[in-house]
Amino acid sequence: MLHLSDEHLIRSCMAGCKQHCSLLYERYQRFVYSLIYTKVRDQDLTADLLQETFLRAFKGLGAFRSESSFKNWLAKIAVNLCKDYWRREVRQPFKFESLDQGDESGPKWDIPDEPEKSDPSVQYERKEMVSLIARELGRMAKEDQQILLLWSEGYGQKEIAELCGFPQGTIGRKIAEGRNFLREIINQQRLFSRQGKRKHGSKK
Amino acid sequence: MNANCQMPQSRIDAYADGELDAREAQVVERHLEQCTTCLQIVTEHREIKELIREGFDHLIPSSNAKAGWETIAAQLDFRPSLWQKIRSVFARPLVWLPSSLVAASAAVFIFIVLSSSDKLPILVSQVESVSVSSPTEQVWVLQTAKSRQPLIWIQSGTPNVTEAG
Repeated sequence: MLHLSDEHLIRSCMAGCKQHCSLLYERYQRFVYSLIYTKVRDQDLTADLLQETFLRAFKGLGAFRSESSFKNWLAKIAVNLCKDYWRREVRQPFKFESLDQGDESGPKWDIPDEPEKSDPSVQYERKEMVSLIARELGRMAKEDQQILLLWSEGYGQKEIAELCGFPQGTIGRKIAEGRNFLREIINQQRLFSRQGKRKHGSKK
Repeated sequence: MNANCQMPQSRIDAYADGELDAREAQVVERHLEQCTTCLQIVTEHREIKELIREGFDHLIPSSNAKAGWETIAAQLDFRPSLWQKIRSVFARPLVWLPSSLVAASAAVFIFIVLSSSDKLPILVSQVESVSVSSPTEQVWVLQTAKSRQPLIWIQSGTPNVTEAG
C-alpha cells in the first residue's frame, strides 16, 4: 500500500478529506492512547481524552507548523489536555509526583498474568520477554513510564523534556536508569531461559 | 570484545538515541565498524526500545479505534473554509513552483526595464526648455511641457534628444 506522508495527509485534511483524516487517526491513535493512559490509567477517561486530542488537532490544523512533526504536535495537545483535566476535575494543580518516589497512590496497572513457561519456541520466549517487560513497566511511576514510552517512540531528550516539564538532564538520567534496569531484566531472563533449555536438554 | 575501547558509553548512547549531529555520528559510525562491544550496545538499545513499545502494547488495554473515529468524525465539519482552501492550494509545491517562476521573471523584467531607462530618448515635444548650467556642458536642466518638473541631466555627452514623430 502506498505510504502517504503526514504532510500530504494534513493538506488533504485541510481541504476537507475525511478519509485522510481517518488515516492520520489510525496512524497515531495507538501512540496517543498509550501516552494518555500512562497519565490517567483509566480506559474510559483515556478514550475521552483521545477523542478530544484528535478533535482539537483536526479543528486546529491551520495552526499546525510543519517545523514540528504531527506526532509531536498531537503529543503536546494530549499532554495539555491531561493537565487541563487534572486542574478541572481533581481541583489540584497538575504536578508529577517526585521522580524518586514513584506513584503509590495512583490507580494500579492491570498486570497481565505470567504465561506458562512450557512452550519452548522462540516466539513464546519473545512473548514471555514482552510480558516481563510489561510487568516491570507497570510497576514504574507514571512519569517514568511516560519518559520511556516517548523514548521508545524515538523522541529526543529535549522533546521529552518539553513534553514532560522536566529539565533535560533529569530526562537523560531517567532514560539511562530505565534502560539499564530493563537491560538487566532482559539479560537475567535470557540466562534463565538458557538454563531452562540446558535442564530440558539434559533430561532428554 | 574490544578491551581497549576508548569511546565513552554516553557517546554511544547518544548515537543510538539520534542525539548526535551528523559529524559526531560519522565518528561513532567509523568506530562501530571496528568495535563489536559498542555495536552490541547500539543493537541492545534498539532491542530495548522495541521491547518497551511491545511491552506498552501488552500492558495498555486496546482501545476501540473504529468507534473512536466514528465519534470524532461525527463532530467534525469536513467542509473546508475559504481560507483553508486557499492555504491548501498554495501549500502544494506544484502551485508554488510556477508562481515563484512567474514572480522571478517579472522581477527580472522590471529590473531590466528600470536599469535601461536612462537610455530611453527624451522626445523634443515633451521638453519645454533646455538650459546648460555648467561650463563643461555636462549638466543639463530640462523642463517637461506636461508636468513642468525640472529634470537635471548629468552626463559626459549631450542628452539623447530626438525629434518626435
